[in-house]
Amino acid sequence: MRNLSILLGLTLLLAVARPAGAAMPKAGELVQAQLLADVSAVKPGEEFTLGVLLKIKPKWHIYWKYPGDAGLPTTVKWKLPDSSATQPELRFPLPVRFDQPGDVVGYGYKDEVLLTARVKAPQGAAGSSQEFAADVTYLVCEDVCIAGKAAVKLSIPLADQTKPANQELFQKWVAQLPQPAGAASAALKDAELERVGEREFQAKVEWPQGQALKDVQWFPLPPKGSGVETAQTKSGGNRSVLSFALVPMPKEMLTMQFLVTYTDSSGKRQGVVFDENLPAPLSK
Amino acid sequence: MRKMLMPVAALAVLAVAFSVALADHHEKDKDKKAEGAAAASAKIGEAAPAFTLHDINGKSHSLADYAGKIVVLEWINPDCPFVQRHYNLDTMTNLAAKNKDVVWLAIATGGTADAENLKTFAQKESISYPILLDPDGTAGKAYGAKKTPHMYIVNKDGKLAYMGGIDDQEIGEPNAPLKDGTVNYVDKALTELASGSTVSQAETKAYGCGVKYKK
Repeated sequence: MRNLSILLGLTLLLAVARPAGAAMPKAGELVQAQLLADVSAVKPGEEFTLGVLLKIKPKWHIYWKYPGDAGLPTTVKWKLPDSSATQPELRFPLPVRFDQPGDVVGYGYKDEVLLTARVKAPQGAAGSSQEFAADVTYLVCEDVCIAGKAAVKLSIPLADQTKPANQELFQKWVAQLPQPAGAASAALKDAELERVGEREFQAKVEWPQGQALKDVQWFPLPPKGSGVETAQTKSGGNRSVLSFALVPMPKEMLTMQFLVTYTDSSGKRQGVVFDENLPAPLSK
Repeated sequence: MRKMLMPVAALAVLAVAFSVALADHHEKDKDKKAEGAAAASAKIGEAAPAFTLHDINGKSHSLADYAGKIVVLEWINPDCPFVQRHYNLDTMTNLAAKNKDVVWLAIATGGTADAENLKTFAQKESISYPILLDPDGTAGKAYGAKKTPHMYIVNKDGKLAYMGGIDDQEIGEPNAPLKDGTVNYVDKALTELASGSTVSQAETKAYGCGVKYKK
């Protein structure tokens, strides 16, 4: 009996004690990075898609290009065979929102994400192998956050004919890229941005009556050096409004991007990106 | 058996009633939260929110105790790589040492308000200023602290003179060196306040880990 109570006590102690000083997990164990392409061989000069596949340990998350109230953006720096080529645009699929206690909102990814870019195969002899690489940085968080980086590479042979590969994976993630504003298939055609205070704004989207859009979510992308604070979404009827403040307020009037995601009537999650000019301050 | 059942049934009824009450409370909380967020907590030029918190050694500190002095508030979390980097670089401890007339208070909010863990950290990093415990997040919410580090400066009149980041480099790698050309906003603001001028950049973008408010 006595042994039992000691055992019980120990178990309790173990359960309650926080793992202070316990070895922190390594970033590389939490996020596995791999460079993939949608081709296994490519014709010189032809475009194809490169993708960094990030596999994230369950319950942990990494961040979108704007992390929200906390965190750091995930970055990818491409290293292409033609080192003089400009960096291709990094394409982020629709992020998800993490609501943390105390109104701390994060934007990013759980489980898995494929960050892609369209690149061009260099000129060269068929059969010659070309090396593509990427340097990835990320912050991976659960209760604690750990900064991580990975250097990944992939050799792709040049060939007379392009050979597709990894089609299912690339199609799945490319289908989750946001659409540009005005895309024919997008239920949201345009957005409005209104200035309601010194640094307070309201962004609004509307959709045709009768179209049932669900789970409308806003992912604001503030100008560099500025952050979005006190973001509040109100959706109802056929409109959704995001109220927010820019802190600090950028000195020069700039444009700001908004990604708005929604679930369409077929149950598919979609997203549209809007570029809006920041309106001038209200006259006093 | 029947005797046993009665209390169980009573307990179940109680539990249901309690959870209904909780749910109701939660709804109200949500409304309050929305209001609070819309009103945006602490504001530059306005009276800094009052607080009374205990430090890791049990001593009580109120903002009012330091009336007439410049007070720096630093939201801290020893497990956050952004915080670790600035302690590896001695950013905070050097600034506190450099500004002897300034009261420096670190605040650990929510899940990070763990006196033992903070004591270990304070010892390791030679932190001589108080580290306050804010387990319920009342101070954190009053100031709108969302990140670690999140920095605030209260001027001699008790008004908020600065809020935002420690500097302009969003780096989360604990061992990353100080980048050339880094602008330390807190250093700049303290220098300006010491010379009697107003803070030129009173608000900047804070960066770091999220403050670990309790659910």
